[in-house]
Amino acid sequence: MNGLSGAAIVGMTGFIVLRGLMTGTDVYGTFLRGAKKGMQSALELLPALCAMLLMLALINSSGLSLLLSRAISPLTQLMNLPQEVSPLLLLRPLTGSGSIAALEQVFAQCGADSRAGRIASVLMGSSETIFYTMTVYLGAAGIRRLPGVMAVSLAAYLVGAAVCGLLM
Amino acid sequence: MLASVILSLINGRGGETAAALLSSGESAVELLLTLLATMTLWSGLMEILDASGDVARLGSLFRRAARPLFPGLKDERCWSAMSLNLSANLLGLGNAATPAGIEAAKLLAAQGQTGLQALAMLLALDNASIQLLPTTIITLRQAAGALNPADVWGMTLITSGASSVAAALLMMLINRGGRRV
Repeated sequence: MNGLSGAAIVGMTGFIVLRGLMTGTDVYGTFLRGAKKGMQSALELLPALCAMLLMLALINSSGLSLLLSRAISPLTQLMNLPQEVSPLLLLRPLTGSGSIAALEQVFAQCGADSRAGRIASVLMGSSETIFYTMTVYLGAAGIRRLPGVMAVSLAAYLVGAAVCGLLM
Repeated sequence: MLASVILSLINGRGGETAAALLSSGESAVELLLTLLATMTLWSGLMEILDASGDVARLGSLFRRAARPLFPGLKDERCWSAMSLNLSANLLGLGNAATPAGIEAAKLLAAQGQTGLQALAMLLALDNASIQLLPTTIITLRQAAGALNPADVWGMTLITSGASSVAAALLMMLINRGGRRV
């Protein structure tokens, strides 16, 4: 890793530790506590990840993914997105583990440094599991539906995808 | 899933499908190892940032900036839950963002029409997800052999910035329309 972004990651890490020391936080103990939480949430992903990779394997080898990509190809062509990104584009708003699996698939097919691989990375990093977030928050608030949010979120997601495709 | 099983049998691709099916469990474990490493490391670091009070400070900064997006919202507890939720999301602190978001959703739902419109805006912003440091993506790219795994960072910020602006503008339009009715 090199260049500006490499330096920023190192700088960010240094900044976090420095801020911890400045405010008198128990840096080591706090790190361990957070790391444990992160580890647990990662481990909890395994069953879903397994199911999603299985599903993607089925969808891809059966030819269903080709059918779906063709179905949305007018949209992806308009946004100048490579065809390999289509499964990710479809899965991203629905499932977090599914989209990680789809991202991995793009890396495996085209390489992480290919145009498709880079676009897939940006698309993944700049969006959220919309349907999941909505279910969790609205469920907690006891609201059945909140008009507009879903449409706005999906539209904003497509704006992001178009920005990716047209600028990269 | 069923559709693909049927399709693969129709297309006579049962053999290939079986092979893909069996190797998918193995790739799940490999993928998990990468995720485990990055999530453990960054959750640890971010916990320090949270404990140092910087997440709360970022939240109060956000509050001043975001007033125009949430017109008419006065309730203090709503604002603090909302700003914690958004600033935790900004830092990629999923563990802290979700409880704060749920808290905010409950409080806002009790505030009538103004609260519901604010909740709609909050969700639209959350869904557009600006994240300062996309650590998971960078690590996944590194594991996949990218030469410079972090080189998508700038573009990620531009893209999520664009979708956040789009989300805020669209939601503002809808909320304005809702108030007139």
